[in-house]
Amino acid sequence: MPCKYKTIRLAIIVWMTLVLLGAFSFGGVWLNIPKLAMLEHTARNLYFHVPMWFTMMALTALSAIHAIQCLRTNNPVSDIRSRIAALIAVIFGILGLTTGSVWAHYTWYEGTNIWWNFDPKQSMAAVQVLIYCAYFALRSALDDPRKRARISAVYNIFAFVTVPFLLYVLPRQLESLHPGAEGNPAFSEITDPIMRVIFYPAVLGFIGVGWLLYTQRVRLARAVMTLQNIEEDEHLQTKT
Amino acid sequence: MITLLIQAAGSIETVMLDNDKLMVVLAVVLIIWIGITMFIYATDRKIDRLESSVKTLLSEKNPPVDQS
Repeated sequence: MPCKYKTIRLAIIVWMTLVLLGAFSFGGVWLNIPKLAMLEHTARNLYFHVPMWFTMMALTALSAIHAIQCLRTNNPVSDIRSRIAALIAVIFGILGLTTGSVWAHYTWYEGTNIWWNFDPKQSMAAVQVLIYCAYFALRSALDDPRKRARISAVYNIFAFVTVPFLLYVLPRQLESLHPGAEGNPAFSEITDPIMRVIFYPAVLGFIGVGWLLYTQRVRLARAVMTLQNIEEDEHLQTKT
Repeated sequence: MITLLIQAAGSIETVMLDNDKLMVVLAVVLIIWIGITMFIYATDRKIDRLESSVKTLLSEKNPPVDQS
């Protein structure tokens, strides 16, 4: 393991720890967040729920970049990188959906029994996650590794193109309770400036955590690929 | 000394119970975060070991060709 990786890993972990401490800071002079009706302390979810989506978007972009790279060079490592980035993106997407659902249940739907209400933002985000799940369904349907790499790379690029529409454009056209939708002010208008001090570092920190998980999985997948190649070579040698 | 310790524990108690017990959530989140961090490190070590064994396997399979 290169020394550079160890430094980056430590930096991400320390950074995230500071973000967590900052996210709960209270009672001091600095970083006091305003206490709003309905939101109250749950406003702090901004530091956790929203970065899930930023991390997902960053990882889908990474996945699409490696998909393009895979089509250009036919390099199996690009295929691995593209696949793993999509996998971690799906995980962060599912975390974003569940945290959003819990948050909404105790704020918008307080006093009701609603956990999922097909709010446009919610539905579109779920569709987005499903589009990436379909990527893995497509992969599992193809046996030839080179064909699988090329076809799934093409699908991946199409999937990435839908991201801005499903997560930004469409929910803003429809009536939704989610901030940033029709009839609702966006993040920049309703968020107290002091929250940005933690919010932006939280976004960076979670992207860092996503990158750590991605790097681990890529190394694992590469080791598995090398082992498979050795096995295939042995198989060929015993045949001849 | 013991009275000092009891006083320190008492002040932790007030911090934890203050502000609608918000600091209890912080304590829980930090414990989870430390656990996840340790898991990330352990996984990295495992991958390191796997990679080095794959490397030795590869060098056994294809010994480096003598260029001369």
